[in-house]
Amino acid sequence: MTRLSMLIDLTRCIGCDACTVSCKQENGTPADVFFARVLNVEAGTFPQVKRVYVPVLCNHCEDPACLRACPNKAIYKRPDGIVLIDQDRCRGTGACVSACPYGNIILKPEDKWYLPEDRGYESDFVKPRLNNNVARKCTLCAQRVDQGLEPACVVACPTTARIFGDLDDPESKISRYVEDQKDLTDRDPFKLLPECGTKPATLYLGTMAEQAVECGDATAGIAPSQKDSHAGLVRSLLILLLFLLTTTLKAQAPAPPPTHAPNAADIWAASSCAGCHGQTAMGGLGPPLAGTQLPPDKFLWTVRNGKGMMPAIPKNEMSDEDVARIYAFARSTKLDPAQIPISFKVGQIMSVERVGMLFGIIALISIVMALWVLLKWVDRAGFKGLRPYLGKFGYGKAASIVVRSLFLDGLLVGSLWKKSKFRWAMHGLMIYGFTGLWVADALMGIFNPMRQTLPLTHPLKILVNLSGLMLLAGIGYVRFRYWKDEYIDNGLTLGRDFLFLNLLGLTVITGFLVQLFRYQGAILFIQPFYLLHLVLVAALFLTAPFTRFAHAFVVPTLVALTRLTEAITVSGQALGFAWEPAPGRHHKSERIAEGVLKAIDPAFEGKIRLRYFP
Amino acid sequence: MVTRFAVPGRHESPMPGKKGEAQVIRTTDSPNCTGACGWLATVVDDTIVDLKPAADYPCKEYNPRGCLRGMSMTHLIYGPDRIKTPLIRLGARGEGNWKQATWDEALDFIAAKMIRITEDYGPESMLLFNQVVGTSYVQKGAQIRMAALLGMSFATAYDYNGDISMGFTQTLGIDSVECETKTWSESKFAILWSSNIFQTRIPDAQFFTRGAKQANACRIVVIDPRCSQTAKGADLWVPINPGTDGALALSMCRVLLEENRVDWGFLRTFTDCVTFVRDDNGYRLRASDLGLGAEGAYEFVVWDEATGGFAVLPPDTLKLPEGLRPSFRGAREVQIEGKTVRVRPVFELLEEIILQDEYRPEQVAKLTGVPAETIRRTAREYAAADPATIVIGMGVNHRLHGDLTIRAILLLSALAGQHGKVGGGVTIYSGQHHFRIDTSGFWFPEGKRPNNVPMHYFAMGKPTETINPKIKYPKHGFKALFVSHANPLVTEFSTPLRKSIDDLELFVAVDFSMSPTCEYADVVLPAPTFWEKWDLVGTGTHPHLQLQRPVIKPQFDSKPEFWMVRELVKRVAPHLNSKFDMTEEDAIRILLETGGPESEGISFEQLLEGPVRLKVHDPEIGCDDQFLHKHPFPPRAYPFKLEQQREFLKTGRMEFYKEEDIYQKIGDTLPKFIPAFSHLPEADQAFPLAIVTPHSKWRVHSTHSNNPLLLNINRKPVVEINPSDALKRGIAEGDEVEIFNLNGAYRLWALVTEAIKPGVVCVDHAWWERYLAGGKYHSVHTHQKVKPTHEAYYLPAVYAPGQHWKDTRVDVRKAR
Repeated sequence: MTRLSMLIDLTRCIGCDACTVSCKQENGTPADVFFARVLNVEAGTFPQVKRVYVPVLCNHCEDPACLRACPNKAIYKRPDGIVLIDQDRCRGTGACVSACPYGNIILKPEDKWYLPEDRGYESDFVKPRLNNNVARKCTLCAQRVDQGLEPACVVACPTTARIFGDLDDPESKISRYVEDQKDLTDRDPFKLLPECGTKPATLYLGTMAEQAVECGDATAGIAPSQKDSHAGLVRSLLILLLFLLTTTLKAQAPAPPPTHAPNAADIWAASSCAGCHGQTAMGGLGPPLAGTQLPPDKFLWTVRNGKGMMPAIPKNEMSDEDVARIYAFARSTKLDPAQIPISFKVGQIMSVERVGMLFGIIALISIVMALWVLLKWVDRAGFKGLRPYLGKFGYGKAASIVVRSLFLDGLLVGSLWKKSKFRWAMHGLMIYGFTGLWVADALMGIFNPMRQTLPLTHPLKILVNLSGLMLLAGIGYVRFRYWKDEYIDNGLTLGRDFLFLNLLGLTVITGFLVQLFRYQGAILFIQPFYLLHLVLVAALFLTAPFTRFAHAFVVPTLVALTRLTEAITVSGQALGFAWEPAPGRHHKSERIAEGVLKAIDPAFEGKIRLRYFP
Repeated sequence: MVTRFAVPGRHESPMPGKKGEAQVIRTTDSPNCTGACGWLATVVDDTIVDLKPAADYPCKEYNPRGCLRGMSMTHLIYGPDRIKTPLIRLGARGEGNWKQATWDEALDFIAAKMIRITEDYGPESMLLFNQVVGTSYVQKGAQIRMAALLGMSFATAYDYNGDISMGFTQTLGIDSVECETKTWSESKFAILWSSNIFQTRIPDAQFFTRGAKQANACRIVVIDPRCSQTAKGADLWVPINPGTDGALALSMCRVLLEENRVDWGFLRTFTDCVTFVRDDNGYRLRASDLGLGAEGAYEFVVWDEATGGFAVLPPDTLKLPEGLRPSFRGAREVQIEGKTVRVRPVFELLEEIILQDEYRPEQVAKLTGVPAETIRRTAREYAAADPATIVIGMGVNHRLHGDLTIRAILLLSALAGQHGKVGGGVTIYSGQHHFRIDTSGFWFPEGKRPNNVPMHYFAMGKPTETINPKIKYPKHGFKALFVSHANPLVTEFSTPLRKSIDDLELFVAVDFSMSPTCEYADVVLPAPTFWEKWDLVGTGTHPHLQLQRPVIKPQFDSKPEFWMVRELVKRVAPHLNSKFDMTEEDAIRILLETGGPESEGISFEQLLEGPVRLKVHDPEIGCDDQFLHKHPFPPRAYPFKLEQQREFLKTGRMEFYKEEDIYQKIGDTLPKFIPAFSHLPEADQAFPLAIVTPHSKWRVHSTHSNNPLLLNINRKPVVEINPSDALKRGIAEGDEVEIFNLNGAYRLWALVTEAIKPGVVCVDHAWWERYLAGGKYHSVHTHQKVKPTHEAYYLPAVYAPGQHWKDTRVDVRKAR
């Protein structure tokens, strides 16, 4: 494997900003856009002052937050470890800007340039290379690396403080440097903000100066790898099988003792298999109908109206007398438990009450996990560092920006509306189809707690089916896109994407199948497919916070944070943001500075600030 | 995985929409930092699209060289301030009313005036002022060649800026002698004395960070009132009170003396410590005084303890005769012309000064703010380390009595015997003027030289009373001024200078950017940048000769200085046409052929291939011939003759005693401490804050002030101020503030920082006024003043008056 990385030796670095300028020239970035920059850190109180220069660039993380945050799959990771933003795919959503804990992604609606319009340098050689209003960041000079050259900042560093190479190759420049410095100067490399869990590739070596006071190797070309879309499908199916297996095993466990006194819970629970078959699976219709717990009139009512998965049986198919006969037979017959089919045992466990409880718990777990995931994103986005500035900026103003963004950018998917109406519509199908199913389920719980079979023309049925169809259409489109789009693989999340897509798709499909079987009276298929449907729903919920599903709540949150940071940046210099050469990252830079100082001198205590001027 | 390169960046050439082939050309630039860094320029369709360090020096240690300033030249080359055509002033000076002229119009206009001024006042009334002639020998050289041929006056910027280190000249007979910077790597102990080389010598800083510190565990001490960028790499930061460096140096000398950490062998061989000074007239005791040598010869005597009598020091070598044991102490009485004269060794006089109570570390601690223990320990560590180096910056030099401080520091290094070693010595980077080859062959045709005059006298409007008689100040004063490669009006434009300029009949500025100096000129001539013309480049920091090549055509209607000069001469003195009947390449060939031993065997063709190391010692330690081969000091300062230098260093040794009358008169015969600001009127001294104006990494002097790319990072001019000083004045970070004193005021923004000593404020050197919030950067500077000892001799940029505009005090207040 190849793991391209850069090591920055802070002992060598003199904070000259040659890297900053070299990067600008190589990449032709517009004003205020800096892929490489140098944090000018000043710590302590006179005379106990320390100064440290921390050159920062994209860390090309092993687990890049930006990549995971990108809703457009515009950020991808090459096999050599370089993380890139595809400028043609980027829709300028802005989630990555907040997602990057290092503040290394820049998104500006408009570019400002340095030189007069009539000079060829910018208009002919710089501007044409850049797309407007897309997120940009350091590319580790992929274009140079592919030619076997080192990144521009590395070759331009006049103190050779930047060492470039392949970390996985023990003979590379960088690996040897790390080893040598361990031996010669007793220094171990550290990484920036390890607590963010992005596993940066960039390494740092600390300063050797006491600061006391009295008073690359490059890989040529990229080997194309196979899209692993099938892996995702196989993985999701495996997970499903596992679920089924465990449920079946559980079902074979001894049944709990029967409750002989029917109560309200029984009646409520009648909306599932157990409604007919009895809570202990010993009653209801269907062979063998032993020991039903229902009174005769209830039994008859159930037969005539149907319950749960069981279709209604009209009089012309079975007379009242026949029903009474069956009832009497069922009440009197004792059955050998060994003869009870497995589906009965499953039904015995999967009572409506239990299923309700189980899904309540699953939903709770899912929500807790989602919240945890979300908080982690917010923390990674450096919100803590932003908080002190919110007071000065105005909490009310901040809240209104966030709410507005959540509505416009989140709920209405503003960025897609601007860039691609079709994709926006497809997003709508997915979002509102999913929401429709949720709503329908909730309404069903209110208006049809017994889950009786409703005619297809019933408003609730229409809602369910329409939502399902919308979802199916959306999923179909996405699957089509994933199939057609050769750049869909960002090198990291494809498996999870497919897990989500497949779970969602299978959930909807099994839902429709169960409905179909019910209307067709294909009793044999109803239970297994219903069970499968439930398992899929459970799997969908439990994996949601970690799959593509999460972007539904993560992206709007990150975009809202981006909007907030933008607003603070343009609000003025009093907040320390405006003097920063690449605005909007001040709070993140402060966090990096604190981390570096801690790494260099764990004993240091005192105030730390960033200077934007020498 | 399939990827596509829809990423910003230079992927392949040709560029989108461009058909031209990309060409990569090796060249060098020659700005005033004198870094002389080699570049690879990628050129497409006559546009520089990329600059990368060439990293092709035969001495691998120097790779790569380059910095943000050189790299961002693209934004000056294609920048908004490029002068497109010659301009002739229409309204009043500085009004900004210009007529765009053709070259013929502009040159005819200038030539007509030159002819008239020559007829009316003589050619010496026309003054040429160009910057840093020590690095690029052809374009600036052509101007000097013209001045020499026409008999014009010529002033060097090096001494006008005050970059000249007179303390060096007084001690070593040469203004600055750098070791090549790679030798810094060998140091075990380094004192960076008010020197911010991490900003000002970016390509060479690696020899401290990568070399000395990382590979050699060198201990680095930074003496600076600011926790500067360089202090970042310090093991010990010594926040000294501004202007007290001399006391610190002498106190360290005292520690060495008291603890007998003196390298007697070094003093005996290389310094004048063993020579004698006459009590009666303060002159040095000569061999001829005792009848031991010829009258007027530079022959001096020592007391030989072996024989118990005086012995003559051989004048042609520093090697002491076998068995000679010169004594350092003990007054003697000698008979001179029948009189009994008491004579004392220089060392004894030095000792007398240094052992005064005022240089006791405890006393000096009070003055400098440096603890006595720090002074003692640093002195001990410096003397004990082998080798130890000192780098001096202009924080020390840009003061009226900076020469005394430098003499004290050189005394310290001599006492410790730290010279003559790889990784030792004392280097000064307050400007840089080291000529690598003898340029006389091209500059001074047929031995003709221009009339050299220090710029100070022009700026003051008249010569001083103590002016050196060898200087021929024009009878009618100056009537024409040609400023090239320079922007002097940013740092000094006080009333006397303004008057001098107002009195000019012709003021021509040659530049590629419309600088504040150009804005005040009568005629502005557009010159190409370093990237658009030929030159031969050398520098003090690394011993390589390089070619500067035009990688693109001169932009707009700009023309190389070489061409301008030829066209002017054609019009002013057609009979001299033949002297310019050559190309730049011819000039380079002449320079290489006549450059002396250093350029021997180096050909133009060889230089086309890449940089060539000069024929000098490797490694070059500075004064190599003196320290290694014991030739008498000084090393020759090209393009002058050695005899001219020997005049002010008669002993041929490091001189700590200066015998000339003017030194005796003002009491500067020996290194001593005179506080900074003491020369100011009392009202000026009363201002509470010292101001320091370091050169910043964003500029070379004032060049790049208007670089849009660098301005994007360094967005605003700021004054660094300690929170305690800011609090007293109600100043908060980012406030618009005014710096003022009795000379004037200007406004900029406050940067409140803990990294500066209370009582000191700091503004980066040479902000163009258009970026300030108001006023002009030079407003608070003091007026011209010349230290009379600097006039005892005159050799342009070697022994010439320095400057002290910045040796002043200020206050800061919040702008309304």
